[in-house]
Amino acid sequence: MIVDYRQHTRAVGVYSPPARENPRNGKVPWVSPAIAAQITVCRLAGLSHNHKPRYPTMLRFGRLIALAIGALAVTGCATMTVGSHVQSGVDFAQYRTYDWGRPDALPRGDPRLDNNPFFQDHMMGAVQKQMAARGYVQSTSRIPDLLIHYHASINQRIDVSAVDAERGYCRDEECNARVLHYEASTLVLDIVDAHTNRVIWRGWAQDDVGDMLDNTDRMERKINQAVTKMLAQLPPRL
Amino acid sequence: MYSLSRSLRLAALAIAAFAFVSCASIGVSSFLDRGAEFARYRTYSWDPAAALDTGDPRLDNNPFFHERIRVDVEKQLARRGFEKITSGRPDVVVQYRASVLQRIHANIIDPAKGYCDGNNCKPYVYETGTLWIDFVDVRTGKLVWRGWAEDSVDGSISNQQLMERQIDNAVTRILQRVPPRL
Repeated sequence: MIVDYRQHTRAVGVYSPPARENPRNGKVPWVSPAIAAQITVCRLAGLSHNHKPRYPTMLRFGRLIALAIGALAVTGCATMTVGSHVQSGVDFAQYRTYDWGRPDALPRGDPRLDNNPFFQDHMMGAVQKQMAARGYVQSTSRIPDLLIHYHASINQRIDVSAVDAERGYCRDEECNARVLHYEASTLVLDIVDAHTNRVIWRGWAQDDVGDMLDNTDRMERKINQAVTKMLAQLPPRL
Repeated sequence: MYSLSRSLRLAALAIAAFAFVSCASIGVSSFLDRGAEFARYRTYSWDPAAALDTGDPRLDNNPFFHERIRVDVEKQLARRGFEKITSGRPDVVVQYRASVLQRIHANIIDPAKGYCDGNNCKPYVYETGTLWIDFVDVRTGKLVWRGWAEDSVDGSISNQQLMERQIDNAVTRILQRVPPRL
């Protein structure tokens, strides 16, 4: 059921600013000049309660940029986050061959991923494809330049849900802020210089495992996405 | 053209405002064992048995993270007149721990200001990192000093430069609180 947000603000505990008569504009929330600038910024970013544009300076272009920022800022459980660290001063052009290293003995691996041949096969296949696309050759016969280790784990994480003031209404069950518990899996890839035995690059991808564990299609898509986005951050071999 | 650059400026402002909203400032404190005679401590070594588990798979066994902390701590201790030894019995053993936790910012309206900061007045989740540095007296086996810093690390683990700056800042601020040796 759809509830009109404006009529139910008190019921759902969302603050609406006190309105004050303004002879020029009619009924608008009163703001001091000092915070007017901040409100403008919030409006621009699509963050205000009153989302009807009033200021002539608020251009569509600026709003689009702001919207993009807003979209980046609001990360729900459904977004995959990817990151990497790299050893500074390492020239990746010196490496050509790689192989899989021994599975490492990190704590908190998750048996649902670690002992899952489907997960391992697809993850390793995706890594091999991405490494080949970057000009690395898998070598099993001679000592490789690089060793790749992976580690997959599942952690409990939290998120909060709340009424979406931008839409102006909320559905029954979403009108109160709730803490959502979900399981996020993290896939970590470590690339080790086989001669010095030092990690020269670490990349990771983290995402809601949701219904991925019992859906092989979805798992395959997520693994591909994770590995592709992660290895896109590998320094180029110039 | 004028209004375009104006809207770009405003957008830049919005980014800056958001960046400030989501980072709580660093909090630093320390405990000192009252009986400890800090002037007596001159040499230290790292605790080889320290648990380096951070509770975050991105940082567990991450050499870029751990080496930054170690290098920073060694630099700051050297500046304070402590000498690192690798053989023999040191006066104190130094160990550190780091952890990353998710926290909820309720983000309700501030009645004094009459508005709330960004994010639609919606509650949001962010990550905080805590770093502890401990000094253990080798002779008594007692913890004589502990200093720690807590800061929002939202988005800074994925940004190596930002993470390194944050570690530098945290270690410097924590070790500033070590009692002087004189």
